[in-house]
Amino acid sequence: MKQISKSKLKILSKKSIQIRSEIIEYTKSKGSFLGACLSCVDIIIYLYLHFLKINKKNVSSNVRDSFILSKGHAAPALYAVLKEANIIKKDLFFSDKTYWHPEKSIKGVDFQTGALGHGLSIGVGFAKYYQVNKINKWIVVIVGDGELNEGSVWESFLIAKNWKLGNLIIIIDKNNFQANDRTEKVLDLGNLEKKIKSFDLKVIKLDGHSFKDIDNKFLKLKKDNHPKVIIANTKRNFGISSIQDKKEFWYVDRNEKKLNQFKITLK
Amino acid sequence: MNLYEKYLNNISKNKKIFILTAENKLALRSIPNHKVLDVGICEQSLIGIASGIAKKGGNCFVHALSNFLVSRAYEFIKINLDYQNNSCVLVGAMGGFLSTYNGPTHQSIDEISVLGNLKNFDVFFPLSEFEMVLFLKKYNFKKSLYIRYNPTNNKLLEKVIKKNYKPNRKLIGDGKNIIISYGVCAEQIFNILHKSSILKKKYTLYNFSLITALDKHSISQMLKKGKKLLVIEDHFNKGSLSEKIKVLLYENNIKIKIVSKNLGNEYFNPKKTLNELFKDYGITKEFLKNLKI
Repeated sequence: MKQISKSKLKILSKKSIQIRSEIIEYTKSKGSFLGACLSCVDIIIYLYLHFLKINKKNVSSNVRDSFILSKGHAAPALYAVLKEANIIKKDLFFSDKTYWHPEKSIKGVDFQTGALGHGLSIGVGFAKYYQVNKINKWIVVIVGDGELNEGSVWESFLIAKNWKLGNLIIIIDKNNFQANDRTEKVLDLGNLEKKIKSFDLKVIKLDGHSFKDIDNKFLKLKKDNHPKVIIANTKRNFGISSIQDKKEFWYVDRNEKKLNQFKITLK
Repeated sequence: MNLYEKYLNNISKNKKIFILTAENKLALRSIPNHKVLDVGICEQSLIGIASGIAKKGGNCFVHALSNFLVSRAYEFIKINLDYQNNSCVLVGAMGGFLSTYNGPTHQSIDEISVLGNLKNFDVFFPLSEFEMVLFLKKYNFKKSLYIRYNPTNNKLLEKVIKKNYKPNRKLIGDGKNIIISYGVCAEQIFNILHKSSILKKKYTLYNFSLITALDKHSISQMLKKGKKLLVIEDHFNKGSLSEKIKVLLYENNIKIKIVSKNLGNEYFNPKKTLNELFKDYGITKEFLKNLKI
């Protein structure tokens, strides 16, 4: 894979603002877990518009790169990117089918998630199937840092390591919040990097809102014998300065009067 | 290798077949280790992984102790297998009331009530390993399947069931008193009736191993010549086959006298053998002789 060009970096940055704006529009009609969407949306943009080989033509194939949004409540971010990648249509994005968690009938949703702590084990299953059948494709799973409260995630870390799933990329969307408060106040993860390294897993850290940094780190990934764990430092509600990195506005109701104002101040 | 192991070993040459376990090899002792994906004692991840493999097109045979496979991992089963119709075979070991001296923490006598109402799931309690393999040879992975693994092998029963095999059918007897049972209970009753010409005239024993195939047609067929019905099973009363039958009969206005014996109606009974347990629960030759339904 080639390094992303400067012009493409600019395009992705523009798309990032446009897609955030569309997620706010979605929120105006249906409400959303806006805070969770805006912390991982840049990573999803990078994955679908650059890294993963998923497009309108191959989306129905079962042997392509695959993506699982384990923190399923960020689904509007996934839907918005699928729309941008021409995999789903605008009408569908604003329809009742695209509710708050990924719906299995929608093209590009590789697995229905929502209950936290499930997605990584599904991804391990995908990766194992590819490994056994020698299918040379990536499996990417995004988990939330709050989701790390679930013991099943840690089970899957162990299994992925033991099975040498080098085709598996686990991205932790580390926005330092879970539903109602900071992760450190609810269930402190401590030194996350150290914890994961103690599982004998490779850890890569990056800025989850910098396409340049994301690209620099992804360029170095190889399908060797090691699953990759990426800690993406992100911010809840990134791009809306008034509510960014604050515990409020994890969930935003469709009647929220400030939504138009959020849209205007997007950066 | 036993029958199930031979079956698995044979089909596992196909790269789409995956044998998984959460560190339980009761049904897999002779399968070479390299053919088994052992996730360790991680039942939730076991089901998640199997769901992922199934979604990609693999066929998984998933093994663990029944209680942990069904109850510990239930949410994963419901959402990732059943709701999304990713089909796998789950093989639960040591289900039913025979948990030796493990005690109640290891006993699983509620699988029908837990899995029997899922939409894309079949629940199967075979008479023996022989029946299990006969059934699996026809299984097509269109729905998930839970099997309460039963390692017994009964040559007499083999003869009875192997001709034109189907899971829910008459086993023995021509009496007007119908007995419906499954698994080790059906085998035990078969053994009792087989030795007594009087009881064979009094009772007709049906195997109902594919629990989820219960419907008006199947039950009507069994009750055609019957006037009285006795259901014997090792399962909690609540949500059991007998309870499902009662609801079905009531809903369809089928009037028949029914008695149910739910042998596992307590968490644990530390008896070691089936004979001891049957005596303990009062299911004996004398009981069947004297029973007035």
